[in-house]
Amino acid sequence: MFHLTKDPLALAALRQAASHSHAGAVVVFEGTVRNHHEGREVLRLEYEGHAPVAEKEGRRIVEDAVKRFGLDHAQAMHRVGRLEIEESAVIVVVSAPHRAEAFDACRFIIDEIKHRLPIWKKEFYTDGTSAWVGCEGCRQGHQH
Amino acid sequence: MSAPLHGLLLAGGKSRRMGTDKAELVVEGNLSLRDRGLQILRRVTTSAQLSIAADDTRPYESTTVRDLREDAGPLAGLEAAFQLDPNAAWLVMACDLPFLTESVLEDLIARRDPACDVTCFTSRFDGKPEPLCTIYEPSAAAPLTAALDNEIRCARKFLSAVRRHELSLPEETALDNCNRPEDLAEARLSLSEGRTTKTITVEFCGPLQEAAGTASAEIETQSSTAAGLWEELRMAHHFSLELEAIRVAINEEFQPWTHPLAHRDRVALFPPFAGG
Repeated sequence: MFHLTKDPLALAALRQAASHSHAGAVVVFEGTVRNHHEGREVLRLEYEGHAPVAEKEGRRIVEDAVKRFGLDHAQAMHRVGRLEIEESAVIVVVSAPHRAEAFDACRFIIDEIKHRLPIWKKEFYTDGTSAWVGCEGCRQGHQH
Repeated sequence: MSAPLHGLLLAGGKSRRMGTDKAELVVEGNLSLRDRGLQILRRVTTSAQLSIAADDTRPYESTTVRDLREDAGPLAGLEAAFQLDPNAAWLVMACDLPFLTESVLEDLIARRDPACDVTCFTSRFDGKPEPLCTIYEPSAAAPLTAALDNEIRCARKFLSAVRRHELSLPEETALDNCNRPEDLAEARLSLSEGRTTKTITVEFCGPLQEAAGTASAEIETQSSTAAGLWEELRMAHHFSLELEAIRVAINEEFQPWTHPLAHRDRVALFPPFAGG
């Protein structure tokens, strides 16, 4: 129900798997690589994840969403490794009897993925520099 | 002829990260860190004073030295002590050192060099001189006041600029301190169960891998909890992130920092997440 993968994400297969005779709504969220971040021009990204913990915690998020929102189906995948602009970094697919739960559940899953999974993003900029996102304090060299 | 040696127990800190006055904590036995520290200092010096903040109005049984400046850190306590007796040397001891014993102070005193400004131990974590279990000779008083007038608050920085007699610690963990509830849990477990050497596989994840220069390492540690291990690694690798910013997984499950470590555990260190 949740996986990290180095391969390009297969949207059609994920959407296909969400088809369910009980469902009246399918919602898909696709997070894609944009070419800018805080005013800087981004060339490409690299994602790194701790697979054992990320997959375990990711499955908990998806299972929790199925119960909480009464879903017919839910699945999510997150890409790791090198990604180019416009590629998909993450896809969440849910199906439910009605659209309200489907939208809410999809939003819930992507928000939890961002907050709870050990995944890190490194941006490579057009000026030749690179930086880990959201971890400005990570750099070495603490001095008083 | 060396100057007489007085003791100064630093108890004027804000204990911000602990959230409660560190000096009042009981880590082992029935004495608070303040009473335990004073007891040890009294045994090895001619007299011991309790260093308190400028605005501290609480009554104390022991004699106190009040800071002359507000919120200026541990150096302000020493400045006030030198004002009380500029002809004495001061053995300064932080109150949050539950592993520090009388025999370690006796060792410091036995190897004291009054020709230097300070006699101090070096950190087991990064090898730098430690300012808060240290003998300050009368010659340290003038540079101390100058440093404080120049807004220098960091005791380690001050120490780096004076003449030092540096000693290695006779007991490796004697200066492990307690800043947070997690450090307190580490100290309590280590003191009650005793420290044992464990082999741990550490994974430095995401940005930490670059800072550490390696993705994983097998290390020997005496730490009892994940928090103790992080403190060791943080100092050894000069990580600028504090424990609050990091999450830890042990054997592939998220755990609180107070989680005890076992031999052969696999510890993954997670800097702030940025998935999605």
